[in-house]
Amino acid sequence: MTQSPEAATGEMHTSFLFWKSGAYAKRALALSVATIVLYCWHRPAGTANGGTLLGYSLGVLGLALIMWLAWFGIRRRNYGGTGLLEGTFSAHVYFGLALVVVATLHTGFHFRWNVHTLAFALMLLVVASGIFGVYGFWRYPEMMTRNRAGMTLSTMARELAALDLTCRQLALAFPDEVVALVMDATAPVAAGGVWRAIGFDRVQDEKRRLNMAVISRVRRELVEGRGVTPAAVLPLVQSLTQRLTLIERLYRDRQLRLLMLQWRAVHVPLTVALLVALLIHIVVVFYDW
Amino acid sequence: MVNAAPTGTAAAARPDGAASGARDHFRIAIIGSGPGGLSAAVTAARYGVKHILLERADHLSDTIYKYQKGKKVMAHPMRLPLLGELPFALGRREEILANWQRVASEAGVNLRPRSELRKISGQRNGFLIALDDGLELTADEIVLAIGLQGNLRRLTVPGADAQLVQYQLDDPDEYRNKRITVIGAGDAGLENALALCGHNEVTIINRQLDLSRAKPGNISDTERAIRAGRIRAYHDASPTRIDEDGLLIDTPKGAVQLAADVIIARLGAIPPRKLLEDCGIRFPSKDPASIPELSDSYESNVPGLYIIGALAGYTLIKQAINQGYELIRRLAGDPTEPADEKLLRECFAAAFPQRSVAEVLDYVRARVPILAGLSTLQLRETMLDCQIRRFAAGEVVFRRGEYSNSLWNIAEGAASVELDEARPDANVRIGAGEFFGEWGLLSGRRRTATIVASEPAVMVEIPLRAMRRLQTSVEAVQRELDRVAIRRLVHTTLGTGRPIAELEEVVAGSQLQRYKAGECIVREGDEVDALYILRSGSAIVSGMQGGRVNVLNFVSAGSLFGERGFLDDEARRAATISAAIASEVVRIDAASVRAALSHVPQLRGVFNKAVKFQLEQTLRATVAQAGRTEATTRATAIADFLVSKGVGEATNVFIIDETICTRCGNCEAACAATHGGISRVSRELGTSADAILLPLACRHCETPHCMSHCPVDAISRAPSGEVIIDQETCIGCEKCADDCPYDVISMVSAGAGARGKANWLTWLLEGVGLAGRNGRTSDAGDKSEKKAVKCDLCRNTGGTPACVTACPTGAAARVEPEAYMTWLREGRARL
Repeated sequence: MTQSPEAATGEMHTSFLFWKSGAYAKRALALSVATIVLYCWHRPAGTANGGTLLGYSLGVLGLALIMWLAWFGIRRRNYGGTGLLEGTFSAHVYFGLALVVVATLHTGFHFRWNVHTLAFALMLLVVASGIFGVYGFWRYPEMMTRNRAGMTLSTMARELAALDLTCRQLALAFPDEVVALVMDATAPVAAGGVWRAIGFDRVQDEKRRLNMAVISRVRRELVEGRGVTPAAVLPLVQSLTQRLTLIERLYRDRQLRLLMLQWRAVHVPLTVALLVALLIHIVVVFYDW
Repeated sequence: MVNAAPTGTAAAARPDGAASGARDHFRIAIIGSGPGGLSAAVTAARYGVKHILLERADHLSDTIYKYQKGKKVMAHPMRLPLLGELPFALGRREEILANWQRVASEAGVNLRPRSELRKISGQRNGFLIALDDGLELTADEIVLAIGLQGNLRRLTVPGADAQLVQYQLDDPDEYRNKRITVIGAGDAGLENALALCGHNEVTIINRQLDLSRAKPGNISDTERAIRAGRIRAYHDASPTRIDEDGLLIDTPKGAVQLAADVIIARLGAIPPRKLLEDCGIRFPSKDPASIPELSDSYESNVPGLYIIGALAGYTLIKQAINQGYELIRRLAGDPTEPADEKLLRECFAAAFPQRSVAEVLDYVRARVPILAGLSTLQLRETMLDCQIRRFAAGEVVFRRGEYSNSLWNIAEGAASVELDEARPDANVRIGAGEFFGEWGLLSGRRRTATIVASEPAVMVEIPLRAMRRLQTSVEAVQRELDRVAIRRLVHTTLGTGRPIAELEEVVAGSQLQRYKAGECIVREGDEVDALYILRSGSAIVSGMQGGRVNVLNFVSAGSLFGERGFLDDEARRAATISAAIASEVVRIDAASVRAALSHVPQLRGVFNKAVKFQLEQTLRATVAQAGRTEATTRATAIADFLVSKGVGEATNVFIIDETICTRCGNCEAACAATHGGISRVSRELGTSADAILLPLACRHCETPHCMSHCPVDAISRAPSGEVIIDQETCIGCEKCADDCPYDVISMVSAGAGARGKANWLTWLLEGVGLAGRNGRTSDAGDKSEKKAVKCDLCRNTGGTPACVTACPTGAAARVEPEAYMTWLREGRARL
């Protein structure tokens, strides 16, 4: 069978950031440096702007880069080819960064409240969201893996259900007040939307408070010695604590997953907006010419 | 001709008690109304032969009648055409029985139910048949088609006649919240236990040490149920007494009293030896499971008494139907060719267009020693799966590095074994009567040499499945195969470049040993008493370093180990070697090795080279691991994890590094997009440890479990290694899915995977609806016709599998386990 090239060279499990020892990072850096040198060297007739020979060339280069970068959305789902997506992705990341240099030099640092600057600003936002994504891709997988501690989501869910049941059963040995609290604490919670998951909604804190309330209430039972023995309290407190840890892991998992993947919901529409603004920018420029 | 409508219970040919007066005489008496007997009776009725069909039960075909309700009955071997008028195709038990009933009554079969055989005496043209109810009748010829299921093995311990003991299970759903003990861990026992364990407390009593006797699928399901606590099992145990509320069993740890509401004993079925011997039928051995000796025309040692079906060794329904038909036509004076005749003719046509099937069979028997000891019926069955091919001089049979697992026998001509392209002088000649390809067959690994026909040759290719069948049923085949394979393996592995004759004493000191997964072959610190060559499977070499166990090496079939001890006489074992999966090892006794070393000086050179190579590897790993204790520990843990998950028998495995994987699911989406909308990889169903995820995906095993029982031979291995299921041939019987220990085969309806609707936003964000480029599927599809699907390594795209090319971050890899282990050992896994 045909071995993947990386397998053959022993380069498996290498992050896109270090693809071929950073081949695309080097190329993108070279491109950036070259344009900066050209910019410094170039002495246009008036001030530096997009209309000079260099400005125009940088504009064409920037446009080409943007079109190629946007094409990644299609390439990503173009399955069945022979090239590795990882290489394209590595290039997408580094040339995306280089675009900032190229486009900035293209502007000649002229910014106004107009469609041209809007296009530039959108470009910056797209790149910024991309940088956030890269950070997530770089940091979160490992955090997620540690957080899951070898469990899959379904095993976590199963374990949680089992712990809920244990807690409720154990609670029956306590006064009604405690039972009600435990029932409340173990009641199912809607997973919630994106906002809740990313952390704008503090529902998990609510749950946490409720759990802590049960724990302290149970402890009080013990301290006040109303016929409750340590032997009965310990298992319940332990199960509740385990449950709390598990819930936090689940929330954390969801939060990381969303942060890691859903930035694209910003990145992609902004790209579309950028393409539209860019089209207007080009039409306006040529109309003014 | 006596006609009676065989409508089950009311269909007696004549009233009981007709015994008085003159005995009825029949041209042919058929005993047993299973597929064989019924087919014979239908044929006899059509030919107008005066016959009687005697059935013990009050309905036709008792064995199939007693199948579990609604059971799907398989019609394999699929290739074999069905002869005669008795209809039979894949279907439910009820449909099949109803069809048979109808055909039997239309044909005018003369059935006499509730007729249990007591004794047969006499011979051709003078048989006297005595039945249990006192009736006696006479016949010219007898067809005995009683099968085996009428004679289930029974418990013999005290109390075995208790109410709670039963020998079969009709409907598992009838049992709820019962304590059930299943005695016997064959397929029937395990299937019963599995069917019952959902709603009952089930215990299995197994006489063997483990479950190895059953089919792999049943074994893995049962082991899973045992681990999950759904079934309790006592191995190496047997019942000693049964009473009203349970049984006493004898276990390695002493006697145990088990409470039980129901005891189901599944001890197998054997021929009713006493009855048959009373009728004058001879058996070849004392083994109670042995079957009577028969001629090529199914005739027993009693002239005129024919035996067909399971009692003749043919357990498949279709075979029995064909035999019944064929036999009666012959007896009626209108012989027909056997069902497989046409297939065999087609099979032989390419190599021998002019010769008859019988001539070719004689030719094969005379020139292929490994098939010489087979009976004609066995040979016919085997040859159906084989190919006879002619090769021109210089034509390549197979190439080095290819995966293929058939055994090639040279009937005429000769072949040259080219071990090393650079050294044509080292080629070995193999002549007529010899075989080659045993390495690929036994180890499931790549071919180690290219084989070229050195002169015009005729060769018989026996595929893996047929070989497996022969190895288990014909002891001589296994013995001969092992003898030659060990000899050649010793020669090629020790590779001194000297003639094989010089290593004769090493070969003499060799023996084959089998190890279970995890079993220790060599222990660190032990004395050096043997040299080892791994013939199949794989092994882990580990050693203690700084108080910790460290994986030093992962070796696969064909590796030599334990040679270091022979270079230094004082040495003890420097490392521990244990089997990663069930493995076969050729053990060469130390005395033979030392003797060979003294007069084949080249052997020392071979050992030196192997030791040097290993030292270099270990050194490289040690340097790579220096100062990286944590990384080394993780690498060892990963290796252990992979081995524990059976990666040792894989040839290509999908592994994801979870420290890089962003869980984007593009691997699954790519798989689905390139495979009709259904992904053959599942991350969620995979297992992980130390941030290494082993998704649920085919590993393309060295000896694929899935291939073992495919009734239509739809599963094959491409020369490039991928194990593939041919969708055209697959009939959806799920046997492969049952047999796969890793659960990577799924049953998918044709038409499932049609794409869901999309709007522009989902298109933009997720690619849903983008023609041919997405993985979102709808569950619609024809539920009735399912086919088995699994990873095919994207063989049609001809490159790297889509799951790997589509990974944007570099987390996914599809690799050979050895390459991965080397990579791990060299400390290249990120922490």
